[in-house]
Amino acid sequence: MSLKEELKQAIVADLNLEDISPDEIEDDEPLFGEGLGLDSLDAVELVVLLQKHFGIEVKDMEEGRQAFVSIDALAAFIEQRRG
Amino acid sequence: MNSPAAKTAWSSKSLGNRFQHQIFYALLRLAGPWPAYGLLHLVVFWYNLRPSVRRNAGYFLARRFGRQAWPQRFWQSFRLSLSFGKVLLDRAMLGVLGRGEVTVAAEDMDSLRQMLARGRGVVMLNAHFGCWQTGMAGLEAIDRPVNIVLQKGAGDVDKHYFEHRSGQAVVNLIDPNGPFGGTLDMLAALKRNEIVCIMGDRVVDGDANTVAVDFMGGKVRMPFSIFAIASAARAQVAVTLIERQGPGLAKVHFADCFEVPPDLGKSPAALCPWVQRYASALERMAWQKPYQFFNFFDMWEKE
Repeated sequence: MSLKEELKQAIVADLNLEDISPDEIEDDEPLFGEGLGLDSLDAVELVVLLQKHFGIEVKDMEEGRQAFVSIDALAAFIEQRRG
Repeated sequence: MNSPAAKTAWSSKSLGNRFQHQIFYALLRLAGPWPAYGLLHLVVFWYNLRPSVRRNAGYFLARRFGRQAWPQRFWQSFRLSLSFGKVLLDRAMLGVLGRGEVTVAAEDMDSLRQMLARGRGVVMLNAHFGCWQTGMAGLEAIDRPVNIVLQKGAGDVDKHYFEHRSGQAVVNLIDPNGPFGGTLDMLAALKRNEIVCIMGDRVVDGDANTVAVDFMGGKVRMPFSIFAIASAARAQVAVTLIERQGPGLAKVHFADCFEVPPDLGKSPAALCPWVQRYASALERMAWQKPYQFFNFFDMWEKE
């Protein structure tokens, strides 16, 4: 399973997204606002999700803001942090 | 009391205009607190003649004291509004004159230090009770950064105490209208083992993250977001209510302290008991000190 697929599955499961399946999430689709429609508390859940599933702690929230734009951005952020 | 026509949403809009507030600030600077307190009595009496002012104060007062005759209702409304005015003057006095004294019981200060020693931050859950900002000034003695979540509406001309100061603010402000509603900033502050202060008794516009809890004999909606953040950060929560004990005198009450279990996510059902715990602590204090609970709108749901 690719990193992006893993991310999509974790997001759907951990954020309890009931009306969407992982396959329906586009890689470049905005996660917040008019895209996937995540809200401010989902952002908190994303921070928890990154730590729980990928062992990555987001301490610099500005970094997090940039990473939470899309699946593409999140995957790039994880790969960068993994070195 | 709960008729649809009477139902109004909470607003941070100040009762007086900017010029009227400047008069009080100028009086404080030029003549000190007592003339300002004297003028306050006259101004509050004048405003209390307005039926709308008495009605807005009456939503809470009627629940606390029951249905009263007109003279009592007038007097109670006057006392509540006067008490609120004194709090505003106190915080201006703290900012303008640097006068203010905060009492924190030694055991409460020890509790706070113990909570911080766990290294996961502390959420200080406040309410529109007493003189919370004067009390927050007492936290300057604690060697941890304090972050205040603060929303200022367009019509809110009351200056907060740190805004009166000309130098750098002694606290960090988190804007709930900022990116992600300020949630990531709150989480980051807790992860840095800092203190995050936030009001727990008001629902801001558009916040869908609320639950209905029991409060003063009815159901009210209160936000649960901060409890979800505390759960994610595994931070301690301290219900911190600050009683005004006299001119410039504040006493900090830790009305309840607890830790929200981790991994609750944003499930309203899972978070509701913790919101209820906060509401119950606030109710106890509002019952004991009714003229320090500043509720000027109908926050109760229709029964």
